[in-house]
Amino acid sequence: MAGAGLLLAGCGGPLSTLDPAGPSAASIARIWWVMLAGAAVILAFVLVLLAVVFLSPDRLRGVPGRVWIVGLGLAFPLVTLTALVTYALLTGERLIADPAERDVVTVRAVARQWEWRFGPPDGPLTAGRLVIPAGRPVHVAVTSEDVIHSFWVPRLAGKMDAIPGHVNVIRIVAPAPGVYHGACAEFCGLGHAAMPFVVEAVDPAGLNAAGLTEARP
Amino acid sequence: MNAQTSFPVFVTAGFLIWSSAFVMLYAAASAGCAFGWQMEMVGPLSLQRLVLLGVWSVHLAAFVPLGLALRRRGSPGDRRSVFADAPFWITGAAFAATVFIGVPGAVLTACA
Repeated sequence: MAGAGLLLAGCGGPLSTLDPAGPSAASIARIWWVMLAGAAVILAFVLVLLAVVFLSPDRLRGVPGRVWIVGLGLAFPLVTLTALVTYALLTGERLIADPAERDVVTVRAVARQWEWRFGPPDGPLTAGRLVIPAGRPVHVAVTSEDVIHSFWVPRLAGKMDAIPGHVNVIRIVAPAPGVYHGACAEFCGLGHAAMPFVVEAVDPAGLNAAGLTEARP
Repeated sequence: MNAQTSFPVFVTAGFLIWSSAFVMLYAAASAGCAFGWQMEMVGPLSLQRLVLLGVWSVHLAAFVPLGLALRRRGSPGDRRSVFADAPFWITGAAFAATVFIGVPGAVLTACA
């Protein structure tokens, strides 16, 4: 019990993917739970088979080799992994920013060793703090000035690489006002661990005060 | 080329096609996104999708002559050992894997 308590303590905190605050992060967390449940069922099945082999070796002697090799060795993992890949790809498809989406706010996220800077598409950048309106989709145009970094706000969405000379767009939604912590998710040098940032979701009335523009009304 | 010397060729050919498909699809997806091919339309398809489908189709087509050559060697089960049937099953697995890796490029959003 103490061990389980220690393990579960890692499921919370400001950088936990298992404590989602937005729909994108919730989809990703759901994949994790589906995989955990599936892995637990498969593990239980294997352990039961193992127990039967140890406790009553004759019971499985009549099962043909084809069942073990073709059925459980090939067909079962193929079907399981194909289902998981399909589910993950379809979930990932829903997380991608659609350029035609309406009522969206666009912001820039520019990484460099070792800080993140944020701002409106054509405005000045602010280090370490991204302000977005709560309850509205935000397209974050992510890029880098030096090496590859990765924009990650675990409670809001998945990761998006920041690549020099290229702009990737990630869609995030913070349903409620609050502060959401982010980190660089791609090792980018000795200062990699020291480039955290925060996403501050404010009441939409505070949008103009934050200096953000509505790029796609 | 007799059955003995052709064996290594038939064992490796399928997955060589698969590996070529994997590398070229990966490269085409990355290059296409970098050059904005997803925004250039060629009829109903984007240039990006067209390139990915083209690369995929060429590799799938490469399995046709390979399959015909395997067929000339005889059907699985004609020979005395499972080992001798390996080229048939390995090529089948490689074909399935090549179909599998091309599907995302054909149906999913190409660039973030």
